[in-house]
Amino acid sequence: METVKVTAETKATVVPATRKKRKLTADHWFAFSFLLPSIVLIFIFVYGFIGWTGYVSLSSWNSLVPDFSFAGLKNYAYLFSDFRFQADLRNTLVFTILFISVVIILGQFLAILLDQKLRGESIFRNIFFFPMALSFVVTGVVWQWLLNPSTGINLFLKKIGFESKWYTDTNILASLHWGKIEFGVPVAMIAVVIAAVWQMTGFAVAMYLAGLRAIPDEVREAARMDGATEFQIYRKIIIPLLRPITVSVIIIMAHISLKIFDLIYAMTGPGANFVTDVPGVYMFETTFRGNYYANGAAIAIIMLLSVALFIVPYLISSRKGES
Amino acid sequence: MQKKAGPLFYVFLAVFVFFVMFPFLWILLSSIKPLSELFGDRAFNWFTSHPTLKSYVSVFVNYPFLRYLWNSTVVATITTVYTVFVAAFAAYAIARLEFKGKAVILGIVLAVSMFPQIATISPIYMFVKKFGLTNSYLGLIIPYTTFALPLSIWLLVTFFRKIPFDLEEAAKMDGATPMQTYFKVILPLAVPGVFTTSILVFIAAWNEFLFSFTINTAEKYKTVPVGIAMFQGQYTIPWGEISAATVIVTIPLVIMVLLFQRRIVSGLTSGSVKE
Repeated sequence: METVKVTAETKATVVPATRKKRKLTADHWFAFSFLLPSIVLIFIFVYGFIGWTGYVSLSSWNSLVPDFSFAGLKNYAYLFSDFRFQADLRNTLVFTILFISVVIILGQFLAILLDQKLRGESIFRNIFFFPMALSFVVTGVVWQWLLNPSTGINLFLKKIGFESKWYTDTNILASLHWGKIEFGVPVAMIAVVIAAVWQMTGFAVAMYLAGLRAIPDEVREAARMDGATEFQIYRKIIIPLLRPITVSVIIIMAHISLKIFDLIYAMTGPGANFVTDVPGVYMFETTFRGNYYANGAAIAIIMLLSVALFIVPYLISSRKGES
Repeated sequence: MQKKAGPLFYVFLAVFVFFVMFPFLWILLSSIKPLSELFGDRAFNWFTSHPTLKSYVSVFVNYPFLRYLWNSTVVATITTVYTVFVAAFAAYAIARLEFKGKAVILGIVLAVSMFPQIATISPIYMFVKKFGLTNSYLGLIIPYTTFALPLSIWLLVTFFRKIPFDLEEAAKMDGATPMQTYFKVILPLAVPGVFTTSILVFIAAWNEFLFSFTINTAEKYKTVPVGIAMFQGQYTIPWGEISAATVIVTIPLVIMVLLFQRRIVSGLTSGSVKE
């Protein structure tokens, strides 16, 4: 798979050089007509509408009646001083960090386990991958059921002596005052992280496995010859070689967690004191339930910028790597 | 590698397999238990002595679940066919043709596939409403373009790139036009890639929640994820029915993953794993 890709790409750069002059215009027109439908659709429906959202975020449209008078950054200023939005920022930060670290550690660990020439490896891979195909809504509903106090995990915890409503707990761990909110780890957020980890770890396992398979056996053989133990081989050679995959996993998981909506909406909702609220839920409710269109648009733009912060540098660097 | 995995590995794996499977098993058991065994101590009985399919019947009789399934099938199928068709042209141009600004176009497409849909939701809602498309299939198919099209282009580009260039060159030598080359040489070779892309786009469209929830609010046009999320009434949560509905939508996905796991994984990872 890898070799094919490499030859294809080298040829792509070699072949046209010889025939560029002759074919240029015809090929250009051809490429243009092939690209046109997709480009038009993407520009209208994505970039156009994002532009519109950006425009609304600078307007005064905070009621049922559209009002496009210019408000500057007023909506943004309001959000950053808003208790709910500050809580959202804390929750997103906590969720992103916990979710990504657990997915990376578990994903790497499980991929290495599966790479040990196990019996029935494909069955295990299938099992780990299952939750990935579900929608976040189904995951949210299932975990809401599992965490229901009169059945499932929590009834079991109660039996063995831990009676706590941790998944709706309004406590903030390691809290310190910051702005209007308590900054720290909301206990209830941990439940959401567990559900998200359950769903997404399989994806990280699949990516790490692909990465492990791409490492030639000679690398391990050579290290073994030099007397390295299996543990050393992983710690010193294999895991560092997997670093580019870790970067990809971080990017993919970060963009999922920064824009998360379905899972939380279906599982916990905003929660008391907004302990499990995220910008996506706030945006949806303030726009479609409260008719604060400009505020909602400002939240959407902040979400977009936070995702762009991750993906734009990644796209630029991976493009450089390609050429 | 010669070393064989020790028993400890299997113990570790078993723990994780349990963690992954537990929610599935729990929901499956909940779906066949009578209401009286759903809560309290009896919830821990692994096997119910009175298995019942009442929840399954209720899902179809008391709720328009069949309608939801049909709506999801229609919307996801049309979205998949139309976006993969449009995307195949663009992906071919990006993967196989040489022209200026190619990298920029690919970047624009890739960026879009990661953007939060929420940044387009309110203008799209206005747009759909203005054209009287709320509570219709078209009202979802059009917005689904925003994530399905970039996803299709992105996946297809990686598949098209894997097809050896020699064949295309040979076709050109024999005097084939680019159009002929595309339809007679490239497309037949790309069938597995197109197929994989279609599966992934279908799953994405099938699972979509935000647009569907906002745009199609009438019972008649709700899709499965919205239906499941909205099962809970004002005062009661019918967990038996919710479990049954969840099992019903999960089974096709589980079968799909079983059948096409290798393809799905390679499709998802090849775009993102840069070797």
